[in-house]
Amino acid sequence: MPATPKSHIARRGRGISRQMTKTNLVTAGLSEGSADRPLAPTVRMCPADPPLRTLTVLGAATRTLVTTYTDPGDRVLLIEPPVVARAVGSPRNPVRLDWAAVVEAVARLGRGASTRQTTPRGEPAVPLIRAADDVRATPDAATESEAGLGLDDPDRTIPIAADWITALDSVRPAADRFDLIIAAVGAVHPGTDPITAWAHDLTPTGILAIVTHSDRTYGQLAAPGRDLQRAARLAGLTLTDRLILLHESPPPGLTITDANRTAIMSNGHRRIHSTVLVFTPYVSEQDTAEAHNA
Amino acid sequence: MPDDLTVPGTVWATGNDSLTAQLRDRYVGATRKDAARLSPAIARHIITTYTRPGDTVLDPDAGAGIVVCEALRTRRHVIGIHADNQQHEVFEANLELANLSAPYAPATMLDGVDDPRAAGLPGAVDLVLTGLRRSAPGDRLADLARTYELLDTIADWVWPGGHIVVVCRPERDHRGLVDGPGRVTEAAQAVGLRLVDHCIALTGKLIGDLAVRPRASRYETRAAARSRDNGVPFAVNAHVDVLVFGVSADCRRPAAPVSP
Repeated sequence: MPATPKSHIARRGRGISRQMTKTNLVTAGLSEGSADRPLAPTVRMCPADPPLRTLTVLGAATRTLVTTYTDPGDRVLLIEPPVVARAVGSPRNPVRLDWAAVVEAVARLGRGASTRQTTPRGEPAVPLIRAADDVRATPDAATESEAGLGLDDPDRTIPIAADWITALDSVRPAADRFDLIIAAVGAVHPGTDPITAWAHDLTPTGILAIVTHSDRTYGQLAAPGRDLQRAARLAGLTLTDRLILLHESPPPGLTITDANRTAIMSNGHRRIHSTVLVFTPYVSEQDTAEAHNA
Repeated sequence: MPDDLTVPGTVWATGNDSLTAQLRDRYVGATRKDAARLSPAIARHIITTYTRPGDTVLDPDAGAGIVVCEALRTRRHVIGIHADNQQHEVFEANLELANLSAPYAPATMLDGVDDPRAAGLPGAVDLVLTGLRRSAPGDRLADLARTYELLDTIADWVWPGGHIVVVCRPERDHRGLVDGPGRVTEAAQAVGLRLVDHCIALTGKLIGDLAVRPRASRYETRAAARSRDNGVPFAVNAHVDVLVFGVSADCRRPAAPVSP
């Protein structure tokens, strides 16, 4: 478990005054503030047309996640699912346009929107500290772009040795990190490397939201949730929430017919939801107490 | 085979009636505490989905008897195991109410998984349904071991083609959210069960097609508000996870004749 950077504690302390300032702004009708948001339920409506493809679900989920976990001015990183990455270079493919709409939606909400492509599984691990630089430098690996209110990245071209990571964590400016990273992972676990890289790109109070779902193979359900949580824990993240995104309103009645029962016994229920695993950098109780005493 | 779109979805609107309304006139008041882990509406929906009238339902942790009573009311044979003697009187009172309102075959109650009467159980059960209890803080590993042992024992009792359904309510500890569904799935797979479905039963009320309003306790709401004010927001619980495990998909017993 990596040591909690001092900046984390400072940010937490700052968070209170930040919220108080925002409360004043909200009173004046100028801004939305997290302290004034109603408490959100674990189940959210995110209508999406079947079939529930990864990009469709991600598009529906992005607005919900951005408004739930960030304030205007925060930086959001959207991880392009591999299916979108494959569509690059085929102008007739509308998938690419849909992805642009997702990014634009984030920018319209007043957040800085950056995008990055998922590194396909099986590629060699990218040194953590250089993940952002390497993926930009290699044309067929991954690319990053930015739109909206996000700040410029001051050190994106500076090569830093991987073994300096721990020491640099405490002095590295927050500008190259993100308050929210949104990624979509299918039923196949992507491996630990991408999650480690995403964890490194989070601000100390940032949130990694992974939209995922289970898939049925030969009558058995495969769900990547447990593996994702293990990988996240290894990357110093802790699970704080598990949201259910409801893509279709369930009927109010609960009647089961014989035909339905037979279909359920054969192929299970029809999937109308996705799951969002929400992770934050781990903070020990001791850190929190020290921050309060400071 | 019905059209795919007519097959019920993975999310169930089981929270439209409050817990108080679900328990009214059917259960004694002291049932409320136990109903938090598995409400009557959820139990009834699972029973009617995975069994037919005349089938046998088993609850290895009967508690206040919600599964037992709902199974009787939907005309299923039922076997319960008393794992919590503190709620024995509540269980008896609820059972009496169920028998008065819907007389069917008497429930078979066992004192534990090693009860001598359990010797005839292997292969006799169509559905095992239970709600996980809230484990004591710091007792997660012991809890997992208990789940493993329980599943290991009762897996043999289920008829091939039958199901074991475990309902998990999201739980938190000082480090965040506990991955209850993941742990149960691991324990189940370790004893050879297959995860065949993962559904979501709403405990909050569905408001049109727009939102789900949670029915959280005052304690849960305060905890969420406090955490949000400290900069670590988490959502108020509005669902439970329903994990469906299959014993074998090879065959299924024909429906038992329904008693008049």
